[in-house]
Amino acid sequence: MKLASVVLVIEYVFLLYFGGLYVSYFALDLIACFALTRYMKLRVIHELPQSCSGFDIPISIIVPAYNEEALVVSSIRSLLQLSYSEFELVVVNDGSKDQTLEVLKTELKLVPFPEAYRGRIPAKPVNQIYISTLYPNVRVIDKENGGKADSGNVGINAARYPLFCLIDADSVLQRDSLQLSVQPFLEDPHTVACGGSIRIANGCQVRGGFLERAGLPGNPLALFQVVEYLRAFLFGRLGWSSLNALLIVSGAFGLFHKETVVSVGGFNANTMGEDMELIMRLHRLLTARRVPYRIAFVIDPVCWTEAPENLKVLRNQRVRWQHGLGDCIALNRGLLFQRGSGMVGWVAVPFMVFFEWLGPLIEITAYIFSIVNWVLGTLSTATFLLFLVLAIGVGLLLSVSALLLEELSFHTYQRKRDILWLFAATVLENFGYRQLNSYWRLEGLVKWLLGRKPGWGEMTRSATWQAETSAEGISERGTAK
Amino acid sequence: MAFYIVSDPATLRAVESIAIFVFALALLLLIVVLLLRVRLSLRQKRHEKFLRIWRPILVRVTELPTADVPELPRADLVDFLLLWNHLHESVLDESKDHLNQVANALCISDSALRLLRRGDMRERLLATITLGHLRERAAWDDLLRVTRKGSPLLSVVAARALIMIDAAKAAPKLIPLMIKRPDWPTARVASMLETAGADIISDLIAEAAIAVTRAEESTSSGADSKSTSTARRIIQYFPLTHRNSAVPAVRAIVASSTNPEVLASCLRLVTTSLGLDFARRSLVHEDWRVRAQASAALGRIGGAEDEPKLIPLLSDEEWWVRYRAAQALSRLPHMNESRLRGIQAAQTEPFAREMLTQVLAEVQLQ
Repeated sequence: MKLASVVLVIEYVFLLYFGGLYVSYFALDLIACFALTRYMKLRVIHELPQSCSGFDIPISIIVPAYNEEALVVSSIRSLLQLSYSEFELVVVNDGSKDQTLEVLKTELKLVPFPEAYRGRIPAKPVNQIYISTLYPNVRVIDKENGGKADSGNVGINAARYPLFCLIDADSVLQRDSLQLSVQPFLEDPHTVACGGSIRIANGCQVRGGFLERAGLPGNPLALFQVVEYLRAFLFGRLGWSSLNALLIVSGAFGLFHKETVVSVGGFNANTMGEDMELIMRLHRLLTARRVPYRIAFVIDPVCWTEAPENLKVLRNQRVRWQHGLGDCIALNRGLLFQRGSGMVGWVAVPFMVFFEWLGPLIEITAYIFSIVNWVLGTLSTATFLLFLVLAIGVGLLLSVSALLLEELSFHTYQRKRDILWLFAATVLENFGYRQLNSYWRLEGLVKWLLGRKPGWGEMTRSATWQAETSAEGISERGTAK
Repeated sequence: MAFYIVSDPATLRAVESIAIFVFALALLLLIVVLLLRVRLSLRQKRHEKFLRIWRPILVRVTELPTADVPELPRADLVDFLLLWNHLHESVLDESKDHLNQVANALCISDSALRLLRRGDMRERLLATITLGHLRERAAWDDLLRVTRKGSPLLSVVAARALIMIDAAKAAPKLIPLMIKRPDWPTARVASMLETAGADIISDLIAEAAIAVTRAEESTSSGADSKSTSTARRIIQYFPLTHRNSAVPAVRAIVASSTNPEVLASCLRLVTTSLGLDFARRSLVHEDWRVRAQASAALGRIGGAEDEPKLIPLLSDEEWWVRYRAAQALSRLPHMNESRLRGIQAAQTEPFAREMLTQVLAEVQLQ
């Protein structure tokens, strides 16, 4: 009887957990649907030409680069063609072991620049600062290796403008990415950070560093990630941002108010989830200071990034993400039910703790619990299959609703067969991919609990979609001709 | 041992029903997605057809006036407004008149007014912009109502439309409203003021800035962040006004304000010797933002006599003050590289020497 009571409690825990999880997801989905519809109607104003009023906020684009010799120059050349009135590029060479710095010196005609560097945020020492004689708005900072967060901090220290945009060296932006993501700062002076919608670049055609045609990847792992990203950005982040409870601005593309970030200490170089940790710290400290603030999200796809196409790299990424999530929650545990924190502390963080951080533990336990009971014969095959079908159905419904949001907004994937491929992916991801993900996340959680840091692993970039950007077409000022 | 909850027949029936519902809903959503794709495809075809007919007509109209245009199907109204407004924002005044003639021939004003009153947000925005371009006086009251009650974006767009219709009549109503609407995006307000023109807004902006500054000084300490932003917000539009209105206003504000943000904003506007005394006085202000802007101002208008005043700021505790002071020194009319190097050699503070090294490198690069 005692064992039976334990089983009963476990069953209730599972039912409550999965019920709560899916109700939360559907609530976010609904909120996102309303927000998206409203946004798309306001978007018409950006479809009309706007006079350049000279009231734009200048932006420093920070590009950390570690062993990026193959792509860094073409990335910089495409960034120089962004349509924005005033910006500078601060490329941070994070102690690359390959020829990144040499390539930059040659291609950008760099000369040493004796900048009075100010280390407002502590970071690894700077070896040398260079300036491009071709493009005066490009500086390269060569520093000791310290990781992306540390490079971000050095970039912030060197940035001259009030807003900074941190991107990955291999990010593919839209020409109007800065224009779109600066809007929340123009519309609301309390905006301190703004994230953009990130999409998967695999399968797309990129020319001159810009997206020419969106397409789906042939690799199934990358295809599943396309669906994941649609879910994560179209209803996850959009839903949370509508509640001013966004907890993450992706490291691949984010725009920040520099002085606010400096005031909270910049990026934390000791965590693997530095992008999320900064946002959670902004929430925690600005709430404590009783400063009105807004962390915004731009729904438009502003950045395209390469997804891992093999299991080893994908596993590393997911283990790292889960480990980073543990760090973020632990470092900002004060935000949980923090007085005055509103939806962030009372809804978003608890959701993150129970469903995202502990989620894999409960999911894997539920799988094992069900299988063991089925094997032992205490759970009938029909019941087992029924619950399996329900789990697949709910997952499918969430993914299809993300497809619906995409169709209501940007129709990124133009061909009709793309929709069918995406639908096939939403079905197939339930058979192995989701379970693998849960397992990897559990691995990350266990490693975090044991205090073991996962390695960064090596992201092998195929970048087959990327065509070289030539120096032609970029004016001396460094902007598009 | 058995699964107590999930073995309960009632629970199983409920789960079965939920599973069927979930799958049916997923399938339904997929069908909706596919139907939306079909609708999109049809819309694109229709849009392409619309563009094939109307783009050449409207482009031709921008060069040659004509009111002889085909009938516009109601379903193409929004597409037409988008294209027509797009061209309107891109062409010169004479062509704008030609475009208005076409719109009048198609009775676009009536349609736009109807959309403004009953459309969704996208249609209301388009209608507002259209009515502004058409200078449609019949829409005055509707637009004025929108400026007071509309969302930030719609209201500021409506404000610009009113300015287009009758700038002299609208500006005295809209500038006080602008002060009360910190949620109006700066760039859009600037666009509205530019449309009105300096002749109309200069005195109004100057008077408003002085009044707000005095009100803030009398009602709160200069450090009150909320009221600060109002005065600073207005001062940033001074470059859009006539100098003969802005200069006395800046003087009056400087005389009455103790707020560092306001003073720094005023210093940004200093471009002639009229502001010399103010800039020099401000070099020793306790707030670093004022000192930095004062240094920058002297870099624009200073003379040889300002050199000894700027040199101490090379050792300022704030990076931006040191940088602006070094830049200002390099820009003084009598300054040359060897003199700047002499100043650098005389500095005992490493930060000062470092900053001059940077600015010397910048000068060489230029």
